[in-house]
Amino acid sequence: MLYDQATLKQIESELQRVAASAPVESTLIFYYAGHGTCVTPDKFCFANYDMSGPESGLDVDRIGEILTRSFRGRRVLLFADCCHSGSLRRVVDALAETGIEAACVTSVVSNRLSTGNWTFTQTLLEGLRGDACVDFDGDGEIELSELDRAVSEAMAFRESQKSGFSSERLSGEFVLRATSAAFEDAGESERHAIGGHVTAPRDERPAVGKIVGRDGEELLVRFYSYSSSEDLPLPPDEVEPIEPMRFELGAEVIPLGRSSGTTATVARHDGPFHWIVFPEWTEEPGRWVIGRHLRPADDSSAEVANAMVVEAMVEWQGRWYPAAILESDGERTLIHYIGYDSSWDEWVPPERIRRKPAEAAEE
Amino acid sequence: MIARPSSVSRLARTALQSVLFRAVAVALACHTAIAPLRSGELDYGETYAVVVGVLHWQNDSWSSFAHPNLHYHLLYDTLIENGMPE
Repeated sequence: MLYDQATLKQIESELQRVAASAPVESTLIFYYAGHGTCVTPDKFCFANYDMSGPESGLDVDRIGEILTRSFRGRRVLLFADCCHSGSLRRVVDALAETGIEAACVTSVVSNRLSTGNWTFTQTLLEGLRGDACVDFDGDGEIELSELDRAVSEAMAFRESQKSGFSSERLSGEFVLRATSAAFEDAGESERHAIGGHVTAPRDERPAVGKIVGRDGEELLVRFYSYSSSEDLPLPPDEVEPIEPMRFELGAEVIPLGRSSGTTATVARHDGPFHWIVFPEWTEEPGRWVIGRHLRPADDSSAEVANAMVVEAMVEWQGRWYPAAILESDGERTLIHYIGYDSSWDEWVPPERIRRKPAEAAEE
Repeated sequence: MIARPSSVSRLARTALQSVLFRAVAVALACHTAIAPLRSGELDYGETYAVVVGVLHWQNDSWSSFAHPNLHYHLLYDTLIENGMPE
């Protein structure tokens, strides 16, 4: 069924109808792409077409209410590509309380914004299509935990943001699909494992990509654009695995975009992400930050700042400057000029930012 | 490049022709088992889906997204290809 308008009434009624008609042992998949918003610290909405304010949005808890009331099937899989999409874990928890197997994989954790690129959905599609680059253990099946890992790494290395995942009553070994092609393990090394993110030349410029297979002696590297991708064969010595920057537990750090006097402490790790806590923060307990967006608190030199990864070039008064990306609201992007104080950080519109730094640098 | 099956292209063109926004909600139901499945494997023949994608909003305060390769259409198509009947 194709709708022209995803109004609140239409979405809720369709979700209700589908949930109520699903038989025992069935699976229900819910997917949303668009804007998400945090109305209050305890209320999240996905923006339906006619949302004009907090009371007219698709309340995430309402999704849970509809499903727990109407769905009599076995399991629910939830996916969302929007800001605050991790709030779907509330639906997972609600469903689990009624005995339903449930899991969500989302573009970002619940309390953060998400970039406006299609990175999450591109990776979700790779998983549901059975792409071998998501079959990390090479067993011929794409499992839920492998989809989570693929999404997590894609969002980390391409968007510098932490994706969301929650599963209740549903094992991470749950199989989503068989792989669509034989796993190419001939000559595979630990350094160049299928599915690993790398830095490699694209149009003779360094770019982030993912190893998706082999082409003879060469590695097949997938490079992504806003909504498309291309696979290029490259010699292994030109393909450099990304080594996440890591700070030890207890280390004092300053996150990108904060002034030198704002020190945080690393409290725990999750992959390339660090849970940092600011002593003076009262509104939130902490924040997940990727390692390359941190610098040691005892070294605020320009040399350290310049060692940060250039993620974009940003135009300022007719010239292009290297920058790191801090956040995005779907249209504008909060950037940090590398080598400059955080007082220069600013939100820039799409026409002032280019994600291919080397190309922009020559202009 | 991501493949764009012809059915997806048709859907994409249809969506692009709408006036202010592109939104899709797809609901599917099926009751046909395709093959015996072992426990812990998604049976697309017994799967329902609600897919919602919104790129433009009635209220201008929401910023619009660019819309090449409407990925929620690709998702819908993938679910169908995996065995979920239309």
